[in-house]
Amino acid sequence: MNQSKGYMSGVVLLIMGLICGLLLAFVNELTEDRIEAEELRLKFEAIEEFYNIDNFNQEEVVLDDGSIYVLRNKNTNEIEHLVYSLTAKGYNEDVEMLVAVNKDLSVEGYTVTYQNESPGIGTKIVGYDFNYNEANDLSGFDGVSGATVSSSAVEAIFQQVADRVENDFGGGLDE
Amino acid sequence: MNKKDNFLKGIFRENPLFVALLGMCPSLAVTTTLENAIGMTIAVIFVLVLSNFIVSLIMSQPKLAKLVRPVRIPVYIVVIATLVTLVEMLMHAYLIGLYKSLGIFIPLIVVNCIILGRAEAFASENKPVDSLIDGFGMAVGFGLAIIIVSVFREFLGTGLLTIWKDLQVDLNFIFDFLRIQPLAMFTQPAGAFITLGFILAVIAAITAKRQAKQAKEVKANG
Repeated sequence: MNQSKGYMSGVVLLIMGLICGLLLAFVNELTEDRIEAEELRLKFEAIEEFYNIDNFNQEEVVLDDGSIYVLRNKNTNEIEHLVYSLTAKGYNEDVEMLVAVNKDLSVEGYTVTYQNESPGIGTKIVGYDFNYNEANDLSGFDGVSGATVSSSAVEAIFQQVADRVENDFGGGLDE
Repeated sequence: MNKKDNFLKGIFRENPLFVALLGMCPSLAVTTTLENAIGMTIAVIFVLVLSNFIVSLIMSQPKLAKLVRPVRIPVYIVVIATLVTLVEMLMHAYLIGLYKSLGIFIPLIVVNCIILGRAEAFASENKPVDSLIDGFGMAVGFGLAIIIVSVFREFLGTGLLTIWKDLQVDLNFIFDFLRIQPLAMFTQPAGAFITLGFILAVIAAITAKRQAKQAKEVKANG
């Protein structure tokens, strides 16, 4: 009698789990597309700080630790600009940035798209001028004083760009 | 206990954070800005009210309660985890900025001891409507507490109060007037403990004063 009661309790738990699972599947179905669209919107909103993306053919190249948004000339299909979305380890979590680079390797701009750094200290990396003007030259990099770890994350992202930008513009992305 | 008392006890007499000292982990972690505290409050209200109501609904059916009782903790966790995941999905879809800001602390609501505690201590032994009111009162009490902590921390740490997204109140003129800088330490974990410690000390002092006054009155009345 007691054993069958135990089984019944287990069955009740199983049924509850099933009901909850079905409810979550339903809500996931409702929100999945919107979540994807919102994530993309955040990215493109940030890219539009640098370029009017409607003027270009766009494609996304997915990397192991980020992605590259390739903006091509609509007539010649040549790569005009590359926007790197990359991450590096910050003080609390990964710092995510967009770095926009022109064909002549000049840096159009950069912006922090995600960070969870210490408010008032590490958060100063948002909107800060790191003196990064040439994509393949980090010699003038100027970090935020007092926010060494957060600045190092930004520098690591710039370094990733510097390491690959010439190859990417030189046809590396088309291979 | 009438409904008003049931609601108010969570805000004052049994405030989860300031009196029972429950839910300390999210309280200290998300109170860096007022916006985070408001977002966390909304999430906790949703989860605590519904979890209390659902647990009470289940446990108020005698036959079902008999079957659930031996496995009640996993049942509560399944209910709470489902509600938290719902909040997480909806927040990700409709409030993506806040979702990114609260980060890991949304899923951690599952193991917030206020929620599991109210399910076990109150909802499992009371009627659904009373449990709903209790959950609402406790969630509002918790929300007000973390909002108070966050106001102190954000103001002292940055000189700002971020109410929602770009809606910010700049109070740096106070620091300018005093010719000092905001103390960034208050946005750090140490600042969280110091702020909470001060608030608890003030509450303890007020409570002690009130008790002394009551004792004096009792003595005077013989």
